[in-house]
Amino acid sequence: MESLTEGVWDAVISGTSLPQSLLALALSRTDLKVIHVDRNSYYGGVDAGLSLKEAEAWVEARKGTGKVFPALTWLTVTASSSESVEYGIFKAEQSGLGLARAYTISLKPQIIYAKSRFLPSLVSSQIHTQLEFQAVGAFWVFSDGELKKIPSNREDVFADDSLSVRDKRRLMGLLRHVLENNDDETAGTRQESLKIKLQGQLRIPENLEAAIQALTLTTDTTVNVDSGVAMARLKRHLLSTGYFGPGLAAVIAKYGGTSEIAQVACRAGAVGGFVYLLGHGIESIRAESAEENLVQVKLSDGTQISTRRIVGMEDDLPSDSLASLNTSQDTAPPHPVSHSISIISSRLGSFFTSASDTGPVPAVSIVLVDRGQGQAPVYLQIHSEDTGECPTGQCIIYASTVQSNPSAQHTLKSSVDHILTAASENEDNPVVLWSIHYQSNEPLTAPQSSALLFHDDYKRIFQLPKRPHDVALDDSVLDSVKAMWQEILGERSAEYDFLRFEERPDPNEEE
Amino acid sequence: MAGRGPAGRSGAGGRFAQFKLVLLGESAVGKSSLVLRFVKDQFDDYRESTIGAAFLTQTVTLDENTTVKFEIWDTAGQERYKSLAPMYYRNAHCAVVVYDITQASSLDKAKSWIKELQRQANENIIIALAGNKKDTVDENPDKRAVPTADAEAYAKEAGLLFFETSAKTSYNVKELFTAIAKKLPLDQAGPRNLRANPRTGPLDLRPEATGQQGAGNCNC
Repeated sequence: MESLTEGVWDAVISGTSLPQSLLALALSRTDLKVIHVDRNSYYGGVDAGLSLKEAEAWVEARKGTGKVFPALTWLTVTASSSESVEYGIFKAEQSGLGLARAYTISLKPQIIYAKSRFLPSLVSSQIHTQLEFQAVGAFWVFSDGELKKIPSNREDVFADDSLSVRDKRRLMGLLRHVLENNDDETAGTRQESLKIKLQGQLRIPENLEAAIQALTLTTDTTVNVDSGVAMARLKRHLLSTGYFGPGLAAVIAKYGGTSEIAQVACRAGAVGGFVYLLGHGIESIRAESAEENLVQVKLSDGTQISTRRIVGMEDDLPSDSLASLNTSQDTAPPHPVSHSISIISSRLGSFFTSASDTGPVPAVSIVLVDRGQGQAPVYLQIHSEDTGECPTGQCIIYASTVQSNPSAQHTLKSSVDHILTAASENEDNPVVLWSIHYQSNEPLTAPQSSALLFHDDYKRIFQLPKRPHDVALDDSVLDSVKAMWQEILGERSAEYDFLRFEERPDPNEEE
Repeated sequence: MAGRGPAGRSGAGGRFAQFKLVLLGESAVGKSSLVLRFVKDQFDDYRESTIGAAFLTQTVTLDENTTVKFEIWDTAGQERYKSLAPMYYRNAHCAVVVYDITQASSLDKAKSWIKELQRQANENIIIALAGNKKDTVDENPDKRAVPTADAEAYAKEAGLLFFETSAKTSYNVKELFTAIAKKLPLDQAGPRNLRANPRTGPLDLRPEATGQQGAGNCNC
């Protein structure tokens, strides 16, 4: 293979988070010369799936960056300061943990709705054959000390004894309203809040609010959530339900969700002949002149390469060597989000029962923990042993909330504890064996347009937008990747279909 | 038409399972040639270094009821950047680590790959060590640089399958892959074992497949 420094690269892709990996996949059948680098020693970037050791190192590396929480007495705090910690690692004294590499800890766990644009793109790009998709099962709500499964269809609503006849009628009215609602009427304009909409026009009793919010997967308080956005998301949930099987609305990819998808997308790039370099970041970029329209890129090991384009997410590009962004795009400001990831000592089987005798057994359950008093909810994503993210007999709970005050980590911990208590009737004393806690800064909504962010006047240095914090994968990632794909291919993009490939010929069938 | 659908779901009775196999080893030991012999029963004396990475599939029939399909990932051409292997051995069920029996240093390289696999890959990964270019030694015994007994002893100690092979004459090539197939956990509802309970198995995402899950008309 020729040396990296010879010739000119058509594109340098920096970082292997989902957007960059999808870009590599999209370009993988062109004859472009592409190098794909990541400063980390693992694939996936912000979407990575990590072993326990890697996850602990990931937490350690972030210590002391950003805001500081008061000490969490229940933590085995390994932070540098004794009185404050933003990131923490907890290990139970009695340990039933498996080998560190028997775990895949997903940094961005997300479900994918059946009726998304994303899934058809995976199919048309042929990479779905290398992925295993599993069912996301019931949505639950934990409210006033009680854990309740949310009915997944009309029949279940009617069969639910806890609902009065009047409640059932109101819920049917809501379903009708959502399904008959014309998208175009409401698109883009700010509506009243979800709370006002439910209580006012739809006359939904307050005790059903949390269950309805759970199906929208909106993260803020119902007072702050825009009802237009919420109704569109509720519609997505309803239309997706049953598409892949009874009671099923969404799927995840086995072995780490989006991290596995990113990985498989990178493999497509490698099969297409792109060079992959882990442990190599971008140290600096020089784009002084318009001469030949080339950018000089220095990698972290000192290697200098020339390229026509360079693209990455914010964290994958060196900030100091860049001019300010040129864009008309209104990006949502990042918002602090608190997360915890806990490994549980038992399988919590009651969360993973099939909705019907013949339907698939779900591997994921979603719980909205209603905290009342106008507070943002906590979402728990419970991943079963079948996801391949943990050894048999255990499960993983991913918890998150957009509450950003110092007690957010306590809120997450008590939410997980509530669920373990509620589930312990059927299990012998489930406990947290290991957990990590961290805060991220993420936009809460997807970018409004797919306009590209570019850093220099000659449009050679591009930045892909951060994906929003969301329990469900947002289709907008396709829009920014497509815009970038078009930018790199220029007029030649007309020769190709975005993420639409023929099956690679089976060598057994040739000749 | 190729029947590479969502892997699995074969119609007739019997077991069908798909496994991911990764190929590792130093440049020019014959990794791609071994795969080419196994998959297409071809050999090319002057095969150039593989550009990019190759992805091939091949089926092994163990008995009339048992078929194993390998997804084979060849790290070809990018050995020196060492960045492809982690993406390939992630969730791999089996690995073939190749060295050249006429180059002693290639066995050292193979040993370092095996160490990395034992440290980083699935705990249950099945690893086979293949000493390639047996034909060269058959023609001229002086060219042998790695005694069979040495490599065999190492393989035994490290718990590996071991074969000396020739991609050129096809010596032991089929045997190598069949031996791996026999060691794979076919009876477990393990990863990618698609004969497993369809209710916990993977979902078929193709729109035309919904509603006919398990209908079984795939000829793969």
